[in-house]
Amino acid sequence: MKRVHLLGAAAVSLALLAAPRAQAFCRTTTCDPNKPKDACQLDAHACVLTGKTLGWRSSCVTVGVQRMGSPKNGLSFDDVAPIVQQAFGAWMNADCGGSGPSIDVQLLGPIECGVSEYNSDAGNANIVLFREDEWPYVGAANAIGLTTTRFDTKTGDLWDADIELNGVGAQLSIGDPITGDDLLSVLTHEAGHFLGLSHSDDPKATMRAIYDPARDGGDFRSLAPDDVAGICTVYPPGRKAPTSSCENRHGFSEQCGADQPARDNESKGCSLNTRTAPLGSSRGGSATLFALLAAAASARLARRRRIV
Amino acid sequence: MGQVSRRGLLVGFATGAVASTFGVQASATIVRALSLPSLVQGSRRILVVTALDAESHFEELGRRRRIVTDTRVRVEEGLAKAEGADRELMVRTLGGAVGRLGERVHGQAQLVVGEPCVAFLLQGPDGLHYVNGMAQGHYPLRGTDARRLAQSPDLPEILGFDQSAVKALVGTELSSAGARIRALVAP
Repeated sequence: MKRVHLLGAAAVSLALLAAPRAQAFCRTTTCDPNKPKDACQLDAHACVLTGKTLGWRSSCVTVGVQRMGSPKNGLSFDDVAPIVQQAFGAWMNADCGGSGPSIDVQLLGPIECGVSEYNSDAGNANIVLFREDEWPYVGAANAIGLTTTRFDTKTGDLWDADIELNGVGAQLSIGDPITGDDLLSVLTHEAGHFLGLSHSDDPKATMRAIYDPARDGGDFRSLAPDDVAGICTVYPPGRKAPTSSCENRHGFSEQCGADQPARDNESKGCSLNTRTAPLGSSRGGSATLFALLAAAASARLARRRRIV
Repeated sequence: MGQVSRRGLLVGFATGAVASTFGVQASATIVRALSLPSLVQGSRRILVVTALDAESHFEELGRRRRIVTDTRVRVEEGLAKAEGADRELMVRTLGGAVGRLGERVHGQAQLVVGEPCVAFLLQGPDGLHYVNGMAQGHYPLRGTDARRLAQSPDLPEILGFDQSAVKALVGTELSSAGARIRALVAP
């Protein structure tokens, strides 16, 4: 197994070295161009080259879907969960030279919390959520989805990530034919941000910024080689992750911080495996397929297993 | 090795199954394009500004504390709707860093200190200014004489790019961009 990972890593490394400009992907870093003290260096495509690159340090991370889904768009939790699974599955199934990226994304059951937040003194959850009562971001009314990542500015370790979907202004749809904004395409792009990628200047990449369906055609539900190169660089096969825990920082909680019981010890939030059941890992097709078939049943099971 | 092979087979099987189920081409993205007329009409002020300094802090937003960055900008030139604008304004963007916690919201305008830019600004109920359309309303001025509009560094994925203000403005000289913008302002 180790040999396979090493060979995979070597193949990816060779591919990256052989064609350094073929990859247009850009990694998110801790460097903030707004801050003069950061003195960020940008390349010709405005990709920040300095600072610590962002990524999940563990080999496992979880994501959950807010339990309400999107009533305004007619999408229930059971509609949305398999789409989230599929979007992350596109990244987890990337071929990094014989094996996948060295991170596993586990999809959890329904999450109660319906806002994007990070709690430094309470449990957390990485959430895909629809905002249907208000879209509170002035100047961003035309946004369909926003991903917020929280990280350690010293190390680049990702601590939390949420994907907010605009249930007020967007018309999100699933399946075929596409009649509005395709949820799977939106989530596949946002999952790239969730995992630590920024935008790409490759015109075929799912992570590209500029896209016109009428002109470009293209498939944003699947990855382009540049996207694959990006995810395999962030999580190369054979990476020695310091931990394989799927636990959120400060513990997992499906409740928002304000709704969590007061913490009386250091570990507010609960152990992940006692609170939820994963719908299935999004790494590997078997889990993906399982989740697509069993999402509704698993969600109900997860709800029953919650210990509040 | 056997494990890898089995997984490979499963991955292939599942990928095929998924592809056969969802194989139709997608046509959606993250941010709707703002056309130049809608960007102009929806903006409170359209200015050439230079960021002077920035400060990040927590703010109540959408019922939760989030990190925002307030950037103090100097107004260099009014392109349109500039009447009554102060010499300096405060522009708020999402994300930033407070202590060891960094927060990044992709697609925001990045007002780089010392770099002049064209900014399409809204005024929020709090009196602060916000970039209209996130990075779609922000155009750094680059080129040898810093008079040509460039694409904002963290431009979000834009749906309908061909009709967008970004396409209309990026690469144009400031003088011609200003003329086009002023022509769209209702008298």
